[in-house]
Amino acid sequence: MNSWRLRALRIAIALLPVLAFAVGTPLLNHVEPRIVGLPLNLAWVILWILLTPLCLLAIERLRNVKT
Amino acid sequence: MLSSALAGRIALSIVAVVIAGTIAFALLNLKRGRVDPTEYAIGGRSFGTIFLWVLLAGEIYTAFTFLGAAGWVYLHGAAAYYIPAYGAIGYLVGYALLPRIRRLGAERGLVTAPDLLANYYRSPRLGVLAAILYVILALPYVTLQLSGLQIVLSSAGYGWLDGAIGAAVAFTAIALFTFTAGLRGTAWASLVKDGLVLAVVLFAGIALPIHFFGSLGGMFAQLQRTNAALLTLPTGDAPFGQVWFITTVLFTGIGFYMGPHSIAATFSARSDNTLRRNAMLLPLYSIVLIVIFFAGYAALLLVPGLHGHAADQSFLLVIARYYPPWVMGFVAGAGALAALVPSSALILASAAIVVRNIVRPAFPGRIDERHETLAMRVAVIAISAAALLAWWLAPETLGSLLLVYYSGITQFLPGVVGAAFGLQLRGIAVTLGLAAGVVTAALLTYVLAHLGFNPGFGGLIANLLVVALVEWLAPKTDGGPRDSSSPTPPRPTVSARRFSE
Repeated sequence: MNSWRLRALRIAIALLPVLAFAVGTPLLNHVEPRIVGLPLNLAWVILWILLTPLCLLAIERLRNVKT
Repeated sequence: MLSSALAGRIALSIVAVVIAGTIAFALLNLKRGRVDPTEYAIGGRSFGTIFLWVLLAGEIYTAFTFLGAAGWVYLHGAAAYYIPAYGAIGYLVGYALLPRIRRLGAERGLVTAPDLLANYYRSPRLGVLAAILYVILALPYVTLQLSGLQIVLSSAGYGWLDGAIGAAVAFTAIALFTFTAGLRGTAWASLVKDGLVLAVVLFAGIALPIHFFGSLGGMFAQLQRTNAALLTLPTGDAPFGQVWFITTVLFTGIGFYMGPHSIAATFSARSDNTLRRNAMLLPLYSIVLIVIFFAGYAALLLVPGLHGHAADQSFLLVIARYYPPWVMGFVAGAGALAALVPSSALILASAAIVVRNIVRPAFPGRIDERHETLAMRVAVIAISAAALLAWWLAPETLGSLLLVYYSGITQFLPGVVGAAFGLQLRGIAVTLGLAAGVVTAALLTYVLAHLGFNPGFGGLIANLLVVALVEWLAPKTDGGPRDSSSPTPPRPTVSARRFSE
């Protein structure tokens, strides 16, 4: 993969949590269906708290890829 | 049932032991010997992953978060989810930004946030403006911690002791500690604080709901019957509604690391990789906030009917009502540390700023390297005293100043990002942009309250417009940020500028 594509991919991955938190949470503004007893919107926030480190890990891995 | 005087004595004794123990632990871990200003203010650029973890996450989650997050959920329900949301975005921004700031700091010997701006843009004037703004914005934030401390100590006193006196005593102790210990001591204290806060939060957020409602699901089922409206955001641009949520999360997220103590913590890092590794791990810290939300929801069902600032005490009231005083002692001890330790970091960062970016430029040649540490120590005491006095005399004014803390701090973003990414901006553009941003944000906050969107955003747009306008109008140079304070050559006419390009 060439370097600008790699950079674009890293930025795209970084935007996932941003959109999920800032736009996803207010759009998923429902209590039902509840996920393991938690309201849907709260479960969504918790899910992305867990996914954000994985996104950063992917970005970090891509940083070290030789082009 | 114990008398309230005895309960108060038991709980407050535990709080005192927790605070004294933390200070003693931190002091015992310090190196002996002469302390140069870089060691005192930023730990000699030597901190590894664990210290950075507690400084970059722990210092941002203060007593305001600890009590305030529960209070937010209690009053506004789902609107409080903005706190972990902006945190996660903040960590992403930090991953890209902080290693670059650290590198600039190490290459150019920078210690404070205004150092960064003044040095990169070669503009002492920008350094002084940034320094004054940082101190004005940081002082109310310290006094907010004092109010948090008062709430915690009043609850732990069971009415036996006035919380304000206890808060003043504890704050004085931490000011003297900061005077002695510097950032390395603060980092050690932070380690104890985060451990204790984690233990208390897990107890309050997991044990409370299970004890009273059988399970988390049981608690939310009951909330859905009694407080269904709180579990979702108000629609559209209603107060704390969807539009407010989007703008606040984005705005506060990008400004997450603009505080003076966060930049100082960045300079304290040993390497770029330490900062990147931290950015990857820090989002997990937000789980602590989720657990605090559970405690806030439990408090809403157990002690309903609190309004305004009283809601900040909600889960302390649950502890006071249903648990023995020694449990209250540890909960309040954690709360007190959550107020004191971040205050210490903020006071230290402000002291370094006052000495390096206000006093030194005002009296050139008077404070050399050898006296700088001493000057910072004196400034620590002066700023602590000012915070205590201001909190005592004018709490109302401070409360309203605090409204612009986040919107004000984030106005530093264009300058800091420009420096980190090597943008060729002029010092005068960044200076005027910063001023325009802060003024606009303050006007939007105080004059047009309740916009439905975050007022800081308006400030940032004004800020960027002014930067762009000045860049467009100012004469072009061969490159490299210019010194706005040196005599400027006559400005070429617009047509001359076009030809010269």
